[in-house]
Amino acid sequence: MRFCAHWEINQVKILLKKLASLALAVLIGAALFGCGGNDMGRDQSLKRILEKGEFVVGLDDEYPPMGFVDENGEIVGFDVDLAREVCTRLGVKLVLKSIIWDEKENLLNSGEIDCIWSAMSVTPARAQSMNLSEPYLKNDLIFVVMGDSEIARKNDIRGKTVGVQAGSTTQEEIMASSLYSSVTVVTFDSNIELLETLHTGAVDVALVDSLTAYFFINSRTESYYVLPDYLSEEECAIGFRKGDSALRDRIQQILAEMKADGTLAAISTKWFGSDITTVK
Amino acid sequence: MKNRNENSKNGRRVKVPFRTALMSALSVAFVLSIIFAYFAMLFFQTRQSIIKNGQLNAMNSSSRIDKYLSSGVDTMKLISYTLDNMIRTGKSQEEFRQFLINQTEAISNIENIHSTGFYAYINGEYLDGIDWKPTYSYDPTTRPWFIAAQANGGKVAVVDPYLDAQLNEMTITFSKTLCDVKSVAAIDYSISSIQEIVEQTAASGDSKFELLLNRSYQVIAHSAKSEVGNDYLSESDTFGSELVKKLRSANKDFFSFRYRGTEYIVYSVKISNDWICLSVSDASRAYAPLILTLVFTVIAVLLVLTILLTIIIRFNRRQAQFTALSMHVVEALAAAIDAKDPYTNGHSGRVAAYSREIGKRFGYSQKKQEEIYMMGLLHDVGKIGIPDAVINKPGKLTDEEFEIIKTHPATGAYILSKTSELPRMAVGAHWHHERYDGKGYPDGLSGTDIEEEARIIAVADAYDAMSSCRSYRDMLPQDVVRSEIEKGRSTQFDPAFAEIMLGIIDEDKDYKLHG
Repeated sequence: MRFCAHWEINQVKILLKKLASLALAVLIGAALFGCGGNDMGRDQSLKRILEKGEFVVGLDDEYPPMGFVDENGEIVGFDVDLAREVCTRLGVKLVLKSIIWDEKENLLNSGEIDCIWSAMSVTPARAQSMNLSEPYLKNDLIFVVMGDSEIARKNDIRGKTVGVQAGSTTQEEIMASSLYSSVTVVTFDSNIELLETLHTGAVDVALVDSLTAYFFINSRTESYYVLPDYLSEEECAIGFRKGDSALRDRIQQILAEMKADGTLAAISTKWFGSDITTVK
Repeated sequence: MKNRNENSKNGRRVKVPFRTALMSALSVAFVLSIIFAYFAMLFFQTRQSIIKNGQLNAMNSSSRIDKYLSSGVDTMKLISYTLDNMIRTGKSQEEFRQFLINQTEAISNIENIHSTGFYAYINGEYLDGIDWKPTYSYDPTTRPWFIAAQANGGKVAVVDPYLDAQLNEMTITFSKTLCDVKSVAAIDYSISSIQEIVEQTAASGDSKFELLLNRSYQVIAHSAKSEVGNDYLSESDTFGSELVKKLRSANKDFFSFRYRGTEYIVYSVKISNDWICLSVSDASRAYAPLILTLVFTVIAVLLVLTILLTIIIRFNRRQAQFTALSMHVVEALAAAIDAKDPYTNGHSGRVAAYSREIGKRFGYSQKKQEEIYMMGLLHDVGKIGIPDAVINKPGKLTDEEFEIIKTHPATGAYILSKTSELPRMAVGAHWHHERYDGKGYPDGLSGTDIEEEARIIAVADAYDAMSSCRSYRDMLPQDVVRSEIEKGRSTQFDPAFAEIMLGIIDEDKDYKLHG
């Protein structure tokens, strides 16, 4: 009987030892796997930017007030200020690269730019082909006409010429809308070019995003009218290369910090009069 | 020395509590794990129901607030449509003013809307529905309502609350740019309705707080009214700042966080203008009765198990005492038998020991070995009924006397039949004089008809009879004893046990076994 008890203790000890060694094995395995994961992780996107010491932002520089060339010939704007602040916090140099909007995906994928930061609207297709940030802004697509235009409603547009920016969501939306069959669509490389064409009469209506339209109209003495119907509401995000998650997450985090310390609100107020950002 | 002896005697008892303790520990662990699993489920269910309640509260508040806000948004859309047409048709400033006054009067008649009316900035001039004349320094284009409308494109902006001097209460403004972009129309709404909604939700549910935050995490409404107006994002180490920190990092509608030792569960619902309705529940308070029940259950279970364990240990001790007692009684009885015949002194003990050894070699369990040992001790118990004169008679017995001797197995069996707790005890006493070839007594059984233990004891008995002194002779030499056993194989003895006995003899080179 006594031996029996000893035997049980030994059994328990052996069992405990087995459990302990199993736990150890699991731990070591996890540690190895974890390390392996870090070493083998191919997402060097953030490291690459930090090592390079510069962050190349691709933007449409005829897109006030997000990014445009000021009277001194410098690219300024809301997105530029945001990107500059982010770069300061990352400790890298901001390099601005003006791009033709229609070529943005190619430039991003070829590595010529590190991101598209130009109040880019979120679309399912873009979410597929890029690694998008969380939306940081809302924007709407609106119709702008000259002050003496007879067009007062969306329905009045039928039979007219509508200008849109090539490669933008304005182009996608007008093509998808019921109006498409009854209007002539003319594409422009930039929104400013389009809005300035309005008063020449070459286009009757400009389909542009509200932020740009309002900035443009407020800076002009001519009278422009906005139609009460808007085509769609959109959210804007920053576009990164597919797979550049480390970089995207870090910049997302910096934006959240900027929200918390009021920098984001300050930059937004500088360009829009109030904080219109939607960062969480 | 005495203590040590006692300890070694107690050795038999100590092992019982140890084994019991091990079993008890396992059963306690098992019972406790069941209890904990059950309570984990209860905690989970409680948590789920808190989340569900939070969802109901937040949904309720948000839908009512949304409804209230959308009435403002719709009002602005409606009036802007007319104002846009008036701008396009080039109406005069006076016509605009009259329209605003008109509409302000109209809206003052609508229940549920608490408003000071419409105002606008049209064609560079401020116009007011209640004909309020701004001071000279008043620049509408620097006012929040104007800026918010501009920043919001053509959509209706909901301007964050401020204290209205006329209504003397917190006011929100809905404002919208008109078709020319540079003109803006606006209406003020009292926010007291929103505060009421939040307070009503808090009063009807069992949440801790209900609150409404704007996009920059300022408190628009709060069931604890003193919180209204606080800027949670800029605070640090407050309930609000912790709440917002969690809210910003949460990727679900609900989340929980700890603040000053209390766990809160929060459900959030976004409303149309990106404001956030939150329902905060005190999970610690909901868990408290569960924790109390858990503690009581565990204590009760431990108490019951302790009592059970005590009873088991006591019972085991009694059992051990009883076993020891019966052994002692058997030993005493054996001593009494042996005392009848001084020459055979110790015979019972030796037969018992030999039998146990044979049993052990044959593969008996510990328990069976103890059993045959006791049988051995008592195999001659029937001799108590034989007159001393016959037992102690030196020299050859007469046939008559031998007949008397031959009654002792039956007498023994009769005596031992009294111990119904040890039913097999009689086996050894009854048949240890049976022979394998069937020529023994009392029943003349043969082969395996004789109980196995009796066959073992028969060999052991014969060996001891030969290897010890008798009243009529000295002990026999070992080789004689050995050849007698060998001769008795298959006749007197079961060959298997005779063989084992021969093995024991052969190991006993110095013929010391009997000593």
